[in-house]
Amino acid sequence: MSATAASHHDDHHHDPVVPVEKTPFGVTNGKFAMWLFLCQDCMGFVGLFAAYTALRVLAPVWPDPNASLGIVFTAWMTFVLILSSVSMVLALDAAQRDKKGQLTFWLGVTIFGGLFFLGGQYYEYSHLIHNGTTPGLHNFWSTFFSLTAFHGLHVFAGVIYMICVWIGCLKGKYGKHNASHIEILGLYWHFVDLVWILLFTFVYLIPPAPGKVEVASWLTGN
Amino acid sequence: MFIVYLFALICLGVCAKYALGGAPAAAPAAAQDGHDAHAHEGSHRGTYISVAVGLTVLTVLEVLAVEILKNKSHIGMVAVLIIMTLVKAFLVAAIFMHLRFERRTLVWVACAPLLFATFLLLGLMPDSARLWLPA
Repeated sequence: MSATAASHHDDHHHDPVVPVEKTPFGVTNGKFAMWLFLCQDCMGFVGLFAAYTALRVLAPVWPDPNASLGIVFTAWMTFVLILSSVSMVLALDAAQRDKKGQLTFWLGVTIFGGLFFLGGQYYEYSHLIHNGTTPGLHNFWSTFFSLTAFHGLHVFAGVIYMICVWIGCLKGKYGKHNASHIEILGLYWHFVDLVWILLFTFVYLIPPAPGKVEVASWLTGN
Repeated sequence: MFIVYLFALICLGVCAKYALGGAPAAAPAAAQDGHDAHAHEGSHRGTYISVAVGLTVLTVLEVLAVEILKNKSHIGMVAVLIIMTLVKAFLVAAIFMHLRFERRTLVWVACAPLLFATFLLLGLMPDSARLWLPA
């Protein structure tokens, strides 16, 4: 799609580098590698989701997440994460148009969104643990904390990744010629966003069937 | 819950196959807002903003659906939530992650985890469905 590694080798007459358009997948090696990484990372999340499902289906009672978790607060966190995904595609767009100032600005906005999300998660966790709903209380809480913490670590890694690239942007290292680096970073960030979209529905929103709801205060922390 | 997951995965796979793999280089679906028929390498800013608005609206609708359907229809609420979530996930993968604009081979690679996830859920079926099976 964007600048290719091959363009750096134009002066070689017998160039062994295959142009991107001729590769089986039509993308740079880095982008393909990121897709492979995301596939296996996805399986990590699938494993956690599968364990969550099995435990939830087998449990005789299950607390209503609407009663135990702050849905509206989390909806705001979801909104921030979606906005940070948008600023990330705008950063990529700026890179592809070689607008370095806009690239730095939008990537900075994305980093800010990621940090805001992490702050929100810290606030949520401290609130829950203060209420006595720790991971050891019930399978509901252990699966909740494993899934959200695993996702939170991905956000944390993404923020570090973005800060590294952002420092490069400040030095003017990124532009049209290597916009694919920004695209690869974006793929990771959108994947994190996508997982959160699924997690928000399956963990926070979907209530247990009516006959199964447990609203005991020791369990919900209220 | 379990069946619902399987259903969701199958839906996602079917969506991915027909909507993404079908026309890799076609113009994006939501590109009617002033940016008519831009080429493959063109700027998608209009599309990005439309998708962002769509994702936000769907998030609000999800939270509202939980409130509105709370004591009415459990299955209805679950179905509505999952459909909206799949639409959101699909939008992110197709537009933000550019799968809509990639070659079909890469789309298949990206969809591989769906297949393995289905296997994993089927493999866990004896455990999770134990409650409904005769002893």
